[in-house]
Amino acid sequence: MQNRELTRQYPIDYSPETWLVLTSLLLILAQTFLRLRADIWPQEQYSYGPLIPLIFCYLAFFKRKDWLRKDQHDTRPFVGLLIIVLSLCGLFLGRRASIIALETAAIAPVILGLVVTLYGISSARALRFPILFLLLAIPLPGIVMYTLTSQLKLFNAIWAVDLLYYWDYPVALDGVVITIGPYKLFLADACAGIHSLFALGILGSVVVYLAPNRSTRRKIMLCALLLPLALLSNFVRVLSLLLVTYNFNDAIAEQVHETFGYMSFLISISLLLYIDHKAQQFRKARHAIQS
Amino acid sequence: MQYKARAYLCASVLLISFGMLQLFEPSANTEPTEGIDQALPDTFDTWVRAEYLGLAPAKVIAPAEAAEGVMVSEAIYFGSNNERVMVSLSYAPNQFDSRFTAHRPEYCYKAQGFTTGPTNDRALRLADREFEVRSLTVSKGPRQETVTYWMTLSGQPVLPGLSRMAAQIGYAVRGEIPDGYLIRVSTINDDDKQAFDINRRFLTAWASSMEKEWHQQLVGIN
Repeated sequence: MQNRELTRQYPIDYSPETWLVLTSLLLILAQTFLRLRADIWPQEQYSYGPLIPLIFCYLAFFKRKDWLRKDQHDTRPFVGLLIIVLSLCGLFLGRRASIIALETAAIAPVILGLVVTLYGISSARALRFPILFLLLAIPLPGIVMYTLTSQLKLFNAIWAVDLLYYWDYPVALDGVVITIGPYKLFLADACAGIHSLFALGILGSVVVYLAPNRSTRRKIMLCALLLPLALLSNFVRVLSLLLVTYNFNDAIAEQVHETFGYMSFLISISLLLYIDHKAQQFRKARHAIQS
Repeated sequence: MQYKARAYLCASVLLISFGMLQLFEPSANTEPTEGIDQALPDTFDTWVRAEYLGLAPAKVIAPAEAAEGVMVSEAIYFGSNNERVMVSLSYAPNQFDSRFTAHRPEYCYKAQGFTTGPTNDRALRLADREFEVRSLTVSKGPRQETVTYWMTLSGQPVLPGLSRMAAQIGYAVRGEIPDGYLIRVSTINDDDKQAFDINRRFLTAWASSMEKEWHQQLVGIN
């Protein structure tokens, strides 16, 4: 009895038609994912790639009661089909010209169009975060990635060397080569921290999204905090690697290189949670004073 | 419209597109290119390669993770007035793949610790063909270097920016994957006007002496 009550309240749609649409969607996207897996995800800076479709599926399933219902009255089949057809054109062009970015960019609007057509505007609204999240799968154009990497690298190098120089270490910078004591260190692309920046942004935004009892404004503010946190933690990582090299030797620095990477990631996530926790406490305290 | 009808409509749109995607696979420009070293001969006009004079050969620094099909060739040429010009020629088969697209020298020099000056584009006439090349002057300590470069998409000279993007979309619509070269020459000289003039004279002589197939690939045909 209770079960039937629940079903009436949430007539979740598992009809054969739904499965048909899902299968054809997977059929059309399979090749895109295969290409991403072959060409993009093996690159270090895109190592977070496979997480995005997985997290999308999890979020869509987690929120299924909010959108997967066929009794909705605000469906817009014409708008939805228009979105589907236009984004399929993008997909078509992208695949035909091997522009993987365009192909990937088309995934999110195809899904949006399907939701609008089948389940309505309010369902699309309920799914807005997961759908926007899918856009993160788009690989950036090489030149954007390159500019970002080299700028971040220089930023880290300049500030680290300035700070160490201020602390009276024998240190100098030439391009992206740092000389510290007897060591000459070449700042690799990885030192820019692009992959930790992206991974932190992605996991952090999911954590923030799933956190209960927080207003949208606060969630956006927490997400905005992720950027300086990621930059800072990566800077601290580069700085500590330099200090380890100088005080011990380059072999030890080589060993702790990866550990420092994971540590900086954990530290920034913990900092985010700590700030959120403090903000929550502060809010409670203010409420207590007011009442 | 009923849910069922909408679902069938969506599924058929997706399935028809899937069928069309299978029918139109993009085709790569897979014309095999011979070793690009051949485009940089020992001598031409009054220019002579450093190795030919018994000097240390130019060391080619291959990209750290050179993708398949990428070729790089570098040389230093001496002119009749003891000018020295460095040439770098790189080729990649697929200019739509982010691993293959040519990087702009502006960024590469900056990454090596050079200070880059303003860039300017000017038309250059090479063997009856006029097109835009980009020049920039970079410096590091006492070394000042004037770099002149252009890129190609399937044998058409282009400069990075909006015009290159427009050209790329054109190839996309036609279902063609363009290959591309980056042609870069540079001269170390404190006077950037003089340096550009040396680059220009070198390029003019080089283009005129090029064999037809190289001319087609690097400068294009009218």
